[in-house]
Amino acid sequence: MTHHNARRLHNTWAVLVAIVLSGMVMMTFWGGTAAVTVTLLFLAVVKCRLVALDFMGLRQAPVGLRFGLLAWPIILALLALAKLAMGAVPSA
Amino acid sequence: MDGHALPVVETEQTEEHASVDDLLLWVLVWSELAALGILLTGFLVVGVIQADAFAAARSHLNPLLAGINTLVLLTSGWQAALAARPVASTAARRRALMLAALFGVAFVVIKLFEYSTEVDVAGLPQFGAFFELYFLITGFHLLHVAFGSAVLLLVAWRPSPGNIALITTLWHVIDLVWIVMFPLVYLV
Repeated sequence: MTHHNARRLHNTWAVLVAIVLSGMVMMTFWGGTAAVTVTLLFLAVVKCRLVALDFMGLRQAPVGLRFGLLAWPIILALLALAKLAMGAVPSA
Repeated sequence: MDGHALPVVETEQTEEHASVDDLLLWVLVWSELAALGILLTGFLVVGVIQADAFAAARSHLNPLLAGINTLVLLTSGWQAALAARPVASTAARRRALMLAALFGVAFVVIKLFEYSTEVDVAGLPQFGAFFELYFLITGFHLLHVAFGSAVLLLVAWRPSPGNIALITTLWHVIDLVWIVMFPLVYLV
């Protein structure tokens, strides 16, 4: 694992905070819509990527380890999208 | 033992000393991710079966507090990452680890306050299995945060490179779980 310098970590934290705050604004003003939920799921995967690559220092880690860890949030986000899609289909 | 304090991290520690890419750590990481992944998948599946009950129950949650807790946990993770840098001095590592633990405790306090606002409606039958699963999954995660905060403080007291690498890696995994758990439990 390669740990980044302090400035890089500060920048990553600032980006993460900006993402969370933008998500909270979306929830406050447009919460409950499918578009916002999908956007927030996408942002969750982006946040996981930043935490794994920068905070955990996996940017230069072996491909299998890096993608394995990133597969976890992606799979759960896809399952959540599938649930959303099922809810959008009217039952017979 | 000669009564002196144990050696602590020196600034000249190399990347290899702090490396945590050993098999046991990643087995632990993946066991955590597998357990929480199965629980969250179960939550989604029951949410499909009891869609109306879950939608009604979700209106009693507080996504704003959960959002604040996301900020708190990410800030804690940031401090943990600062502590794991091999070039950091022992004092800087200790300070960062203690701040990471402090934010972990703040997460626990906020989550317990949130629970206090939800517990009154948790037993109502119209909400199906929502609150049972909600308290199980978020409570399991909360215990990890509480225990992790205590370990962060312990490691701040005795900051060896191996221990710092171990707890900060697990701390980031706890962070990852919350990031995914938030939209799945509160929104989907």
